[in-house]
Amino acid sequence: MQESMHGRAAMQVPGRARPAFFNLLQIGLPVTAVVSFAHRVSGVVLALLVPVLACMLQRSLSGPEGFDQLAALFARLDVRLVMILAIWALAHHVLAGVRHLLFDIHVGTGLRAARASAWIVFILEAAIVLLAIGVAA
Amino acid sequence: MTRTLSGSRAWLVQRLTALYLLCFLPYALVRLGAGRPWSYESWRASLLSPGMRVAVLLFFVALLLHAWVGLRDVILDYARPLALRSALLGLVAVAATAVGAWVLVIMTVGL
Repeated sequence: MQESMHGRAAMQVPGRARPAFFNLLQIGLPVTAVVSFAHRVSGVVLALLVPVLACMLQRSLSGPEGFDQLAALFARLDVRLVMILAIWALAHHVLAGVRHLLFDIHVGTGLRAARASAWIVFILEAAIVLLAIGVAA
Repeated sequence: MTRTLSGSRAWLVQRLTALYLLCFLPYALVRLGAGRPWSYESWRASLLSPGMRVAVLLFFVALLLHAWVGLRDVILDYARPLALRSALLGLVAVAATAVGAWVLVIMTVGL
């Protein structure tokens, strides 16, 4: 009798309703996916900031006036807020990047380790952002 | 640039530049902190010392290469129409080259 039930269960598998699509809201994003996507977003943001960085470099070396202008700019609250967002992007990109580099040398590639390191990335970047806010305030 | 920097070579460039950026970043942070408060004179002397000129130039070369590979990946993933893809890749390549040339001019000042 048990055998027949097994048989029936096995028979049911091919006919079982399977999801035809993945509803992202229904399955939820694992933390590893969030780290990965945020690595990409932060990378694009940082790439767009490279010309800004070159501009700041140029101004800082252009003469005492340019240097003072830049120093006055950094003293502004709104500029400091943007700086903190940039530091957040950089912190996430560097930490998630180190995680990827470790994957390259086969460190932490197991599911549990990858989930743990994803959380560590978020915890460390939160610490860095809080530190930056403390320095800027 | 598109043809010479693709596949496994792009992958390797991404990693090697990441390692340089990873070394330069803490070094720059420590120097920035140690030199406070900065005056124009001390900033200029520090940044335009022979070693720092090379290190900062290398930093921008690594940064631009790293950004190029990353933006290229993003564009290839999301910009599906060929015309849009080519235009974006061209725009990024021109912008990266221009920024690189500009930084070369900035960092070789007074040589």
